[in-house]
Amino acid sequence: MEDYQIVDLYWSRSENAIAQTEQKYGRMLTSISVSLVPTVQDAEECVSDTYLAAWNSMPDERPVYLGAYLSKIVRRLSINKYRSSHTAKRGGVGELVEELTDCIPSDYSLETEYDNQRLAEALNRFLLSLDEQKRYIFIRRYYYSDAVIDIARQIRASEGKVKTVLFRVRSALRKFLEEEGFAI
Amino acid sequence: MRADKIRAAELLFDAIGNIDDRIIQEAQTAPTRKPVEKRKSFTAIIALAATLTLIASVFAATLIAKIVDSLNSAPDEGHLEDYGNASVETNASLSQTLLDAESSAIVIVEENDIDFFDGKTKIVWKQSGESDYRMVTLRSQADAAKLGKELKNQKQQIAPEDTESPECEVWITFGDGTVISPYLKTSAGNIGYAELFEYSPEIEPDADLTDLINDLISD
Repeated sequence: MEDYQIVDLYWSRSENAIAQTEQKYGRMLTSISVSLVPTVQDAEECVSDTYLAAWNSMPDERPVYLGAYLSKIVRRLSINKYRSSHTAKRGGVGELVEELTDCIPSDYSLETEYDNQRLAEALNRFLLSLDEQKRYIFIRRYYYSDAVIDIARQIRASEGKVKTVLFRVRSALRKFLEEEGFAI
Repeated sequence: MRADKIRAAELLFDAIGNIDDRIIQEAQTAPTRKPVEKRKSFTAIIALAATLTLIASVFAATLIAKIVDSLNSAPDEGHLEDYGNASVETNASLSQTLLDAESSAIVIVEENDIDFFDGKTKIVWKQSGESDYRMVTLRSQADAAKLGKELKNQKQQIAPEDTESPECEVWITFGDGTVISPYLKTSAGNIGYAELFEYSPEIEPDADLTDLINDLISD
């Protein structure tokens, strides 16, 4: 079923909307959540909450890219779940955040008020300046939270090549943020 | 300080969750090469092959002409023996230099045997496809300083983006956990920590660096 048809189901308050969403996007949503939260049970809970959030937000919203819309919800819920949990987990949000410290300019200051939306817009510009493969690798790693080895399989490249691209893109992002005047 | 940096990275991680839906949607499928690029590559390969054939033909013709000239001007047998020993001087690449290296200073190790924190600078290399590494520990701090200086002086000849990995991968470990490869531009993103990372070459190590490394690993 096409995205707009599923959205129509939400708008008509048909319970089939959630079944169709689960069939089309359930695996992707679970995959995102599993890589971020401490347990599979937590991931299942986040995915269920995502369906509920979608049900509550449509109408009024009419997302064009339903997969992206749902993935944002599940990612946010999973990050919140991770942070509220006191269970230490190897990998997950912690590992990705650790990698992203490479992008933080050395003279950053936390006293500067941080504008999340402005930073997201800068990230859009940065990502669109990359070639498609580099953008794909970065997004798969830091948005979808894929393991490096999985990204390598998806693009039929070596794990080393993916790591090298990530190194370079993080380095370029750090420089970009400095040039854009972000004191993160 | 470290906690602040982690906090800043968390904010960045959160902001990645607000990027444009189209970018997120695009990444749901792996990129594929466009057919036009394949055609371009194919054309480039044909052009390269034709150029190489032409160069080889010219080189062969020149060589034959020189040999014929020499035979005509130097008929004695003793002199002719020298022709067999003549060699064309070429600048060997760092990769090839290391593959050819023979020295009692070279030890064969596994990655687990390499101490990244012993304060000693080491040159480590591995032939593609092999599991063992070859390693030379620099004898003095002066040698380490010389190598560090030369790495900074590199002329940074940019390798084409689609350059294949060299036959031999090379890393310099500085004994404080940091690891770099002379095939990558030295930048924050290209410095590894306590591991021999894989890489695709960005630059070609220049002749001065190649010569220095050759000296450092020799007896």
